[in-house]
Amino acid sequence: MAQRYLLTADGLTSEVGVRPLPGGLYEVEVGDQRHQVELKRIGNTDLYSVLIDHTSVEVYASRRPGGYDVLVGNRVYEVRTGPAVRRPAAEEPAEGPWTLHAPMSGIVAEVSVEVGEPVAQGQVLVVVESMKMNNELRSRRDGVVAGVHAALGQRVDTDQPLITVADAEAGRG
Amino acid sequence: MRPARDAGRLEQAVLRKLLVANRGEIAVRILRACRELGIRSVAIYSDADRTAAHVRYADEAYCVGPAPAAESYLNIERIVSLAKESGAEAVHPGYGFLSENARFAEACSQAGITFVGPPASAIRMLGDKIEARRRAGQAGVPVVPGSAEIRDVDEAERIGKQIGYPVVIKAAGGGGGRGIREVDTPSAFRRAFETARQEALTAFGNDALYVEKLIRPVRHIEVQIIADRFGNVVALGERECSIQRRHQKIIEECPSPFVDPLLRHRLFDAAVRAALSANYVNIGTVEFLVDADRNFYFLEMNTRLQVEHPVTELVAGVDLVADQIRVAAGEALPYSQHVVNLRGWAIECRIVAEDPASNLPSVGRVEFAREPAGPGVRVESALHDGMEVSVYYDPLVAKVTAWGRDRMEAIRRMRRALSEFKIVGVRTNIPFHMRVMEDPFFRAGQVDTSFIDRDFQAEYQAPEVDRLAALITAAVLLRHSAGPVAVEGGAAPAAGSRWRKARLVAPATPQARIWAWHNGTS
Repeated sequence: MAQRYLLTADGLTSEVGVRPLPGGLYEVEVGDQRHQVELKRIGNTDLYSVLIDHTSVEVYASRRPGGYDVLVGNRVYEVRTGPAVRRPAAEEPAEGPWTLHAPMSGIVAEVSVEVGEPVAQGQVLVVVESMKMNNELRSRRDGVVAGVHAALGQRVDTDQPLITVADAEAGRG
Repeated sequence: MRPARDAGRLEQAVLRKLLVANRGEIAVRILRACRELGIRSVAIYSDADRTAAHVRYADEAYCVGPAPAAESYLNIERIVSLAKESGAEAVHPGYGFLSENARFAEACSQAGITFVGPPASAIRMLGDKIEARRRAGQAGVPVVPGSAEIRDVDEAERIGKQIGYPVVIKAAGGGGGRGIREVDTPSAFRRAFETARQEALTAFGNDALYVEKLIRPVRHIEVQIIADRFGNVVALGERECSIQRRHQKIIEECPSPFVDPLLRHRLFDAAVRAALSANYVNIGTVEFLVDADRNFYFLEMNTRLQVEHPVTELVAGVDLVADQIRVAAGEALPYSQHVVNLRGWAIECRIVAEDPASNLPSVGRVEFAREPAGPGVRVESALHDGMEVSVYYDPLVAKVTAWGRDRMEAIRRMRRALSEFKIVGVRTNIPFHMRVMEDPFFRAGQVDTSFIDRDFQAEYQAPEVDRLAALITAAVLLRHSAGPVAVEGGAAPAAGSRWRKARLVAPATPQARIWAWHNGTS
């Protein structure tokens, strides 16, 4: 019997059906297309040789919570079970406080603003040094600095909050 | 009198032992030269690099200090004392770190250790970009209009106006694209000056800056030279380094598609003159800016082995690392200018750990790496499964160089090589390089230093079939991991039957082994 999965990669969700066939083959259904698939693991590694309707693809697939990271060509696809989750950026409200998160790990080379300081969109808030490059991180909106969560010389990790910018009115109030 | 070199001897030990004061791919490159020359090699490593490729390749290895470069690979006293302790006769600095540090070269000579590079005096003079420019001008080499060293922002702003916008602010002790800011309008000057100053201080420990006229559009073309102690200087071809992002070179080629034989002759002549005026010994690179009318201007001289040296090696047929070790050991150059023959075309792509979408560094553990090979492909790398790409060091993880009989063959081979390169665990700029190889302007050789920022659409579209292959693979693996599969059309074992239990305990077929592995039972 075919097992059906809801798989998301690149923000797109597809329903994929897998039906084992004799001889270690599979019939895989994606949308209205059916493919005959043979998958062989290479030695004791995470490399696989996959023949999709005899098209040969070499992939590297590592198990992750909720799915697999699959390298095809030069790209790693993060394939997850379940429907697409809206990207955080899309959910970001146009108003209200906004927090700058570190886009990479590194060391804080400069904190360019203080709490209470008015800032403009595009203004440098903090500079993070990573791999010998100074990366200027800028404000995504006009407002007033409501919080500084990083100090000069501090080691920060990806996604760590650095600066919070509130609406100018909220800042004044 | 030197004894005649024994042509039949495999190893030509010009030195007995050499310490490599570097890490990463360049350390491995130098260690390879040592092994070829029969020189015993010594690696140094920081706490973060104990298991790095260069440590495992070397004959001996010593810990130099904690992970931050300032406490390890930049620690002059510690490195010199390790060289003495290990009995190394010579130190090779590689590129970056201490490679252009005159104090380090001096400390080596004072300890009786051969520094594989130019004399400290030449490093000091050419490291002072302002003095280097003055000297080049005196030697009859054209230079870009610019200022002397400036520390005061008000004075700098005045000089900027005098030179005329656009201008570029540069670090006097700089290199590698750090501490550089282009300024189009007077209003943006102050902020740019302060940022450049801070970056210069962080990168070079020296916040002196200078201001130059910004020439646009401009190509960045450099000439590789090598000089021995006997006054012989040879130019080994030019390199086109116009493809840069944030002032960092990312693709280089030899020769330059823009340089005709006449311009080449003039560039070589200027490069040799610049080297002679600095009493230069060892290998070095004279960088020029070349405008659309083929006027060229001396930019600076790099007093070290360059990242992009492989393209020159492939086209000029030399081994720059072995040759510079020989020259440092006191030998005469084994070739003269008239025998230098440039053959074919070579292109290098720098593979950098970064997120292709944001161009920000990608830090993490390399889970799987497989490098390209095959005709005309050379890879310089320190990549290995399990390697940590850390925030402490340069994000360059490998260099791919492709050689072809002509430029198009080199491009085709590069595209093929890039498609073979697999890295899982950190993101890299490989998709970016793929796009450049496909770009019509690049293919036509029409690039200047603004190519990436202006003409190039960096958005990389992977083929839709790749996503499909990823989905199909994940689906089949998920089906595997769900447990033994009831094969449709075959005899499906009933759940809990003795037959099925036996299969789980002792997987027999390759297919069963995969299930078992995914179930965590193998």
